[in-house]
Amino acid sequence: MVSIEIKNIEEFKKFMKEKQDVVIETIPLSIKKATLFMQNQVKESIARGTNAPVAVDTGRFFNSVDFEPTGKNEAKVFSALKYAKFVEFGTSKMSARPHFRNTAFKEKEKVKEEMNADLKSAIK
Amino acid sequence: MVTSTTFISDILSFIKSDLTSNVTDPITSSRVSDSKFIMTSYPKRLAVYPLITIKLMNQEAKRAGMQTEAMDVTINLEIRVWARNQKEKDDLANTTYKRLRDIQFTATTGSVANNLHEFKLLSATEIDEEGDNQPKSRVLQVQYKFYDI
Repeated sequence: MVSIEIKNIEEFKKFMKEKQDVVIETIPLSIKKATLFMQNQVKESIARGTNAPVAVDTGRFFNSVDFEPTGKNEAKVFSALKYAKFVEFGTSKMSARPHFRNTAFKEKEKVKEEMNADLKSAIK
Repeated sequence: MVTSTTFISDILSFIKSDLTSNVTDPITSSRVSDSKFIMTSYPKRLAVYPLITIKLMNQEAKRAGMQTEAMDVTINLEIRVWARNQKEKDDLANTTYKRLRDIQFTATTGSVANNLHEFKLLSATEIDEEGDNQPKSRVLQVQYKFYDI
């Protein structure tokens, strides 16, 4: 016969609850950090042309890049300018300068790694 | 068939030739000879609307496993419909999406049979230029997986 005995189950439950609370606290902070990072990367791309040709003339587009939470553990980086979509996707008379999309493609893995690292260090 | 050595041109060519054969050009009878209905980048040639452009936006590759050179490649394409009015734009965008959806599992000529797997439509963004005679467009961002073995 084989038997499994689990000792200190209450202590284990308490330990897991503590870790769960830490994760719940860490996720929003990590998302905020990732959102700020992405906002900065998009701005850098607009100003320096790191991910698409430079799109600064008056600085209006550059300064319009903002972020806001969109739900539980969600946030977006956006520009509310009417012409931002024309810059991003191009028009029949102007080539696209996809700063938002290219930055997202380029930095996606880095953001994932950072968030994983945040969670790992929180539950250590 | 999309193959490892020429896969970027193969993908563009596969999508282009399928859409050319299966999406009806609304002005097929009156289209001038030096313009095309479907192109693989924003037209350098004469642009006569409506038209569809296909562009590779991004590709990512991850190793398929330990100690292997095989890669799982994710491909993001931008398929943009340029039209003369809203209705034409929506009809063409919908027909294009439906065609790509429907050919996934078609034997021999389908996307999976040509090594393009896990079709996804990521977004369909409307980019309408202002003014009555300005082209209306919709950007379909689609994704495929290519298993580079």
